[in-house]
Amino acid sequence: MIRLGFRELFSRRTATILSAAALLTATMSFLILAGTAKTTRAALSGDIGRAWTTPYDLLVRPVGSRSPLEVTNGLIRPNYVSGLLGGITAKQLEAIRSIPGVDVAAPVATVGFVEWPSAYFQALSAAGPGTTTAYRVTVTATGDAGLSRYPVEQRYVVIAKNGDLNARPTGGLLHLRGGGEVDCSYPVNCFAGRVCGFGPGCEVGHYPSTRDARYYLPLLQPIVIAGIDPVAEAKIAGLDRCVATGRYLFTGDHPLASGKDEDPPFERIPVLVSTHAFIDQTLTIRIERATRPGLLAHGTSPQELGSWQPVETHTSSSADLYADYLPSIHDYLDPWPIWSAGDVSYGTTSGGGSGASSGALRAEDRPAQLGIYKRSNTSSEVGIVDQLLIPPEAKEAWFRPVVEHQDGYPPFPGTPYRFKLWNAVGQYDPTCLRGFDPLAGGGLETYSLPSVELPDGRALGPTRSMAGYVNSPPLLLTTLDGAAWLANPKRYRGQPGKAFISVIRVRVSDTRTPGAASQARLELVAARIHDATGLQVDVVKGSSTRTVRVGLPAGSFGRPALTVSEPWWEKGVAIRFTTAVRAQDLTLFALVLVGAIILVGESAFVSVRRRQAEFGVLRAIGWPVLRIAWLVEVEMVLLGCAVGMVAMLGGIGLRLFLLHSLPIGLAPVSLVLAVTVAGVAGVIPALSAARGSAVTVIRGRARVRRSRPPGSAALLGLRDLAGIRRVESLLGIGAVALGAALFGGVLLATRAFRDRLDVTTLGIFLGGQVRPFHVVIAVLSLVFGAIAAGQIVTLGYLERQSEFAVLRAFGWPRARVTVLLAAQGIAIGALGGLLGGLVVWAGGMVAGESGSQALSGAVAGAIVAVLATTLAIGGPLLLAYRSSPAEALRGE
Amino acid sequence: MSLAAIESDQAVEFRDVSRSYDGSTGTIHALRDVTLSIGRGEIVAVTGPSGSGKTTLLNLMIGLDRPTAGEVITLGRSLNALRERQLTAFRAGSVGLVFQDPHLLPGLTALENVVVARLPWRSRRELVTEARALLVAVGLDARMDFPPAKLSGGERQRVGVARALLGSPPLLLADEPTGNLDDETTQDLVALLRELQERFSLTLVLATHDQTVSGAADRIVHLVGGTVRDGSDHEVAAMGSPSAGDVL
Repeated sequence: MIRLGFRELFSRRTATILSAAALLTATMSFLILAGTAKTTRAALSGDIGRAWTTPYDLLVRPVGSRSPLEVTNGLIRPNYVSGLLGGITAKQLEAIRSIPGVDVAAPVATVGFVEWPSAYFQALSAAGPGTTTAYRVTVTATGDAGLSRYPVEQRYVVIAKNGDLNARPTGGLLHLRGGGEVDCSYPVNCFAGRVCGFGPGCEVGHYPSTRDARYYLPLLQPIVIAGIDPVAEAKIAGLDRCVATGRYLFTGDHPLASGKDEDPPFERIPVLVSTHAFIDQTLTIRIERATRPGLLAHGTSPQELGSWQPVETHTSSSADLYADYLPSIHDYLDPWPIWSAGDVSYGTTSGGGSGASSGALRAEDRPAQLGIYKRSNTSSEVGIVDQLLIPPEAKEAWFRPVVEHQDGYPPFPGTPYRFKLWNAVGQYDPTCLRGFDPLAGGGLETYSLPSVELPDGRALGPTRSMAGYVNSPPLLLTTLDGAAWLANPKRYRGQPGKAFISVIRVRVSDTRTPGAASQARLELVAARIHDATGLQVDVVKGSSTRTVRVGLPAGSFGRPALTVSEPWWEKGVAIRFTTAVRAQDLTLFALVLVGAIILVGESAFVSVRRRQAEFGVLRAIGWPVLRIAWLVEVEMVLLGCAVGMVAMLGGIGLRLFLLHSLPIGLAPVSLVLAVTVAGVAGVIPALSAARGSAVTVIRGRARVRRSRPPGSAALLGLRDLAGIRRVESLLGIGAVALGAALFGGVLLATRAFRDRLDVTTLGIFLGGQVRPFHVVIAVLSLVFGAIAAGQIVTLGYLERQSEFAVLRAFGWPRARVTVLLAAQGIAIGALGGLLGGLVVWAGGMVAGESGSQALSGAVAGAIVAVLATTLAIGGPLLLAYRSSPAEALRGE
Repeated sequence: MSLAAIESDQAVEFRDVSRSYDGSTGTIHALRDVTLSIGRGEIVAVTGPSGSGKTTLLNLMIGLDRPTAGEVITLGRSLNALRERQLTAFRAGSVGLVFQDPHLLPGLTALENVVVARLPWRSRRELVTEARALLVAVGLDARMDFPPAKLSGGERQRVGVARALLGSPPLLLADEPTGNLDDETTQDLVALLRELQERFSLTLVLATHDQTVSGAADRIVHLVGGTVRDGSDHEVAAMGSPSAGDVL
């Protein structure tokens, strides 16, 4: 039987070569596909691994801390921690630490803002001996990446060596010895040769004397302070390795009360201070001198002096002021309250659709509540007003609610209020901290500035307003004891008290490898934490960031309405991505395998049909039906063996010369695959060969019917397709439909990635990794379908070339014969494309795609399938066109 | 040579026609310097052993093949000068062909098979009317709607004859028309061909091994080794039959 099978294969070389070509295409394609998919998946795992290796795995937050956007879209704004004020107790922290599987539990207790009294000053001097000098100092500030320009103040400084200043805290009155008086209340500051009012008479050299003359501008700097567990933070964030000067915090660093002999009473709060501040503000100080200061002696006020000569212009940034203040941090008793700022509220812009999913959020603002800054003058400088302590940025509309936590200043006698003294044990460099991988994004970072990108690519930073859109990360870190002291509502009204911890970041043991097992473990520990504490727990591992566009309203100081881009944290992307890719791999592999079987089965079927008479003769001479079927099956298996060997050698060649990543173990698999595909594909043709009686097999099956001559060559071709070539036509249509469905499906899947997963940083990166695999699948599926259609046309022509030769001999132009064949190929392509398109559309609708997306995927699949089929039938059409009828008849 | 028909009493003229092919064993000379004439209305049998060039001769007569030397004039047209498209039109309007195997399209009925032969050139309605008449003429009025698989060998060949006569071509070529038929059917077919030749005033050229067929011809052209044997007549044909042993 095997020898007979070989002979049969050799005797029908054309059909054998076509079948072998189909099988080889299928096998090699599968080999490359499997190799490519494996490579892609390996890269995918590695990349997911990058996002998987996060500093912590679970995020524990107080109940009710989910924003509406998080509930609906799973999105969390960057630097969310600074907007969370307590909610978790130390007892709950301990409960979490005792749960099996919890490796590290690192709390962050956001206390709120404290204000540092930094200041800008510029020494000024008299222009000459015996004269009065008047300066005009104009200060402006720029922020919001230079988009906002805030007028700070215009101050006048009068220096009169020959004057007596009758000083008052608000400024006083300057008497010029040549006559005339100057009102030294704000905005005029006076410095005189003699100062009166502090003793029995006027004194030379007493403050504010001409030697003290300067321009002084107090600038409160809002500083976020948070409590941490130094040990846990070292494990989670590596904070201990980023100490720049001094030492790291110890767990035993407690707040220390001042001694009984120290007045006023204060509390030393141990802190680790950031070396950097992030406030985006630059001051410009323009100094001018009056050209005719003598007019002051004639009753002209400094504001009325009309002529000024520029002297110099200085600039100073908030970062400089912060750095300048750091050395003196121990010298200052902080009398200020603590403020807490809530989170930004978001609405959707008109026509924005479903909020974050369409990337159209609008940050909602509210009127400024400047009362939080109101208090008595604490400045030691004369002529300074409280108003100067209000940052001009705070006069903009607010994006966050700000709450003040103090009953009043000075504290009432008998209250437990104490001044704060920041006991800086050391400084840390926030830029040295290892954070999240860029693929996972910075949405979960504790210490870095949130990224808010302007349309031109520049970054929007925080301002000195506590209610600004961008919030600063903590710059002062204290221990949990320090935070608990600051969170005491008896000291600072409205502070959370025992539930002073804002979030707990948890690392779970044995979850290093991405995958279902790790995910299950994470979920188990998360559930245990939730059960034990009732707190809200989210799995952070495998998360990524997603760029969200936010509309900001125009500011009052020049910032136009603009749309910024922010990387928001999206939960659970890696897991979703892994699952999506694996499910897609399996589906596509299965479909490609079906396509291969259809392709090979079709060529086998055509071959069997051409041998009907031969099988009829075998039946007539006594061959059993099953033996004939077995002969066909043996032929197919032999063909599979031969093709498998070639594919195996091809696979080794590919591995050696082209596709080095192709696993060598796949080469022998190609032999098994080829035999299996050939065997399965041969079943229907084998059964078909064994069907019918000997007579019907020899003569063919047909029935008498009413004649309806076709009207054209194309119709004749279509009738032939639907009548004689029905089975292979259906197989061909199936193969093309499969190709169209795969192509359209891949398009839809790619779009789904783009709309749902590609929006995240990780998704965009991984999408780039997966896309080549998708392209390979789509192209292969189309090639299969097109080859199937081309094969039908080719075999149809070869099988009937004598019939076509007769038609040519009767005067059929060669173009008509070509049209007949083209109609068959195009019909198969069109019907297959239509069927595939319908499948894509239905699949898209079932999968929840929008009607237009599903339709576009379907139409694209159908069109490309028809085009590919048209290309594939080009060869056989050319063959038919160029054939000679005489040769065809001679060859019969 | 003008493309217009030349006034001539001859249906076919071969002037020193040769045809050779390049084969794997060297050049094959299918015809060598053949010169012959076939008059209009004549029945000519072309005989000769297998491989003697009978089919090549017929193919050259209707422009299905082109000579490597010499000139072929059919129905007054020099086929050498005609382009492919003109030859196609010429065959569609002037020539009918009957083959040993009629090569009927298996998916079509007898009537449809007849009609499709001239489908590119004439309206379907005209063709159907004429095809019906022809099928009646060849005795298949009861078999018009039968597919080839339901017809006997003789019936299939009659369909082939009807198909060849569609459009009333003045020249009918038959290449081994009885090769697959038994004696009785052969005699019937030969009688039919003669009858039709008379009815339609056809010039009939038959390539055959069969003496029954050649016996019905007015004249016999005997080919041996691609050349025409002198004294082409019934005796020569008998002498030159394969059994005579002078085959190639």
